[in-house]
Amino acid sequence: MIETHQLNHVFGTTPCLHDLNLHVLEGSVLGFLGPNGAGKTTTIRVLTGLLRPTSGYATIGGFRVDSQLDQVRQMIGFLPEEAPAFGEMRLAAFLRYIAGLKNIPGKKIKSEVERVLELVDLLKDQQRLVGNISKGMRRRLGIAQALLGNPKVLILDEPTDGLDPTQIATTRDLIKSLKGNTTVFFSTHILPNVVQTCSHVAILARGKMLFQGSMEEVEKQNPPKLVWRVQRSNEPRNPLKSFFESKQLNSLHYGESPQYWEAELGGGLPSAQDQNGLLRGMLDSGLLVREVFLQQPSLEDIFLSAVSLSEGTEEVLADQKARHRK
Amino acid sequence: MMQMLRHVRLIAVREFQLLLLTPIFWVISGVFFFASSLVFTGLLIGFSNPEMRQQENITADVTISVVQQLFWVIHYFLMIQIPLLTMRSFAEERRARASQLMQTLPVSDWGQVLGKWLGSLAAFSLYLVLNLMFPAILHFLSEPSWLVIGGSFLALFLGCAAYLAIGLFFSSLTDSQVVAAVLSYVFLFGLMILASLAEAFSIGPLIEFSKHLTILPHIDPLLEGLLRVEDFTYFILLTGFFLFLTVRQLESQRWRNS
Repeated sequence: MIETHQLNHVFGTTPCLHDLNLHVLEGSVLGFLGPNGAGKTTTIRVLTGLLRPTSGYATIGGFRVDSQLDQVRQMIGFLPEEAPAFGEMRLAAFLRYIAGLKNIPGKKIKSEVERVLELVDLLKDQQRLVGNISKGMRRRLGIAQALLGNPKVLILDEPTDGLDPTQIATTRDLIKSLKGNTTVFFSTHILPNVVQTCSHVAILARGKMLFQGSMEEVEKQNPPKLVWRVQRSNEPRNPLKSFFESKQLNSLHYGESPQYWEAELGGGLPSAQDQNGLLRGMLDSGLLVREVFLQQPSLEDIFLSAVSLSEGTEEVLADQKARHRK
Repeated sequence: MMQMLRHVRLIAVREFQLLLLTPIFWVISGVFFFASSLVFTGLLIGFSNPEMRQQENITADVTISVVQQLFWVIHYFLMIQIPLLTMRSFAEERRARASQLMQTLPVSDWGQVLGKWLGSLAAFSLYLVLNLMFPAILHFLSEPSWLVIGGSFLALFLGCAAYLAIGLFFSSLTDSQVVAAVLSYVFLFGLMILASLAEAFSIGPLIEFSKHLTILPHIDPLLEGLLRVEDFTYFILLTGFFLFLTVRQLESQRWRNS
């Protein structure tokens, strides 16, 4: 339903999108993930016809955005990053105005406006002035206008930005409910938004596509890790490291806490027999095993590892971790 | 086509309501209407005083001495008023990021521009109708020629339509309302004195050509009630040209946002 072909864009001399090939299936909900400055908004501006790429092209529903913009505009509902200001209008009047511009037949406008107001929980506020409502309400109003007329494709730029936790949950449910009928493409840097609402995910960093696929593919490509934790005593270094090295097993990651040493074993899980052998070996070496468990990597782990591998810098990783801690 | 007409109507109605809801419209209109009233009173006093009439060489025809003079002044006032109100049109929309949403709706650029222009024209027509109060008052005191008044009124309307198109164009060029207004003033002023400039600098081949482009040789006959095809054509072309430029500007904006 949405495709980009070798999309490149350069702002001045700074490359912003690099050979972006995106494929969004009809009826899917795709979370477009990326750190700030990754090129998410630029991609969205290209998809909505607000920006002409330096090279390459995008299609929506088979129509080229650059040359068949009228047909594309008929198909999409769009929530811009910054909710537009029509401060002097009342919520219902604003939506009636947009509904008219979206060619919704006059007789259906009233019911359609009420439907979308109810979906975003603004029905009781419909007579308030747009200029007097909160940022979160304005965001929801933006989502409501995007939903007007049941567009085939919904493009949302950071839809949960500025919403409180309850509103975020409602918005996620709303997006999830559209799956199957509407193709939803939404950009976000909030990972739980993707985990809880999306059927597909695409990860972008510095204008390059690092990964795209279904959530199942994400899991398949990132198998669970076996985590071993042993009691910490006075060892100067992680004893699991020498243990696994002696067994010629590659651990993905070693960690520690004041209570235990930790090793995450990846690269294909050992059989139950081998696991028992490892356990026996550890006990024979005098290690006191506290926990052994399987851990499915979170989308955050996958995202951080993909971004950091791509960038080859610690900056992005540190930035993402800092944001996560917040 | 029907869809475009619907969009034009919706945008025009919103623009009209927005202008009427904006305090600045009433303040500016109020100030200039008051100024027009003062001019009208002054002209009326001058006309009704035979001594002053003789001294100032004022003709005995009330239509020429009062109505035409007044409408001539109102025309200048309109040239000052219009950029002050059109400056916010596209500039403000772009600053508030509302233009992003408008550009992703199934509305053509012509639909947007015509809607805004017609909405503003409707609001200014309302103001112009208010100015008919002056000849109406005169009607009770004397016998002005309504044919000439009609011509003068048409001149104001045509001028208004053209200046609004010019104001909208300059508003589409920039995010800054002040810059939009200044550009409109500079251009309108330039268009007023173009012929004089060509003459002053003795730019031979340009003198005749600039006479066709300058506003005054076209507005003056209309204000005098002289309806000439060339003057109508001038204002219609001026309006159409700037509406076209505004549409092109909106189109090019999409491809220049890089």
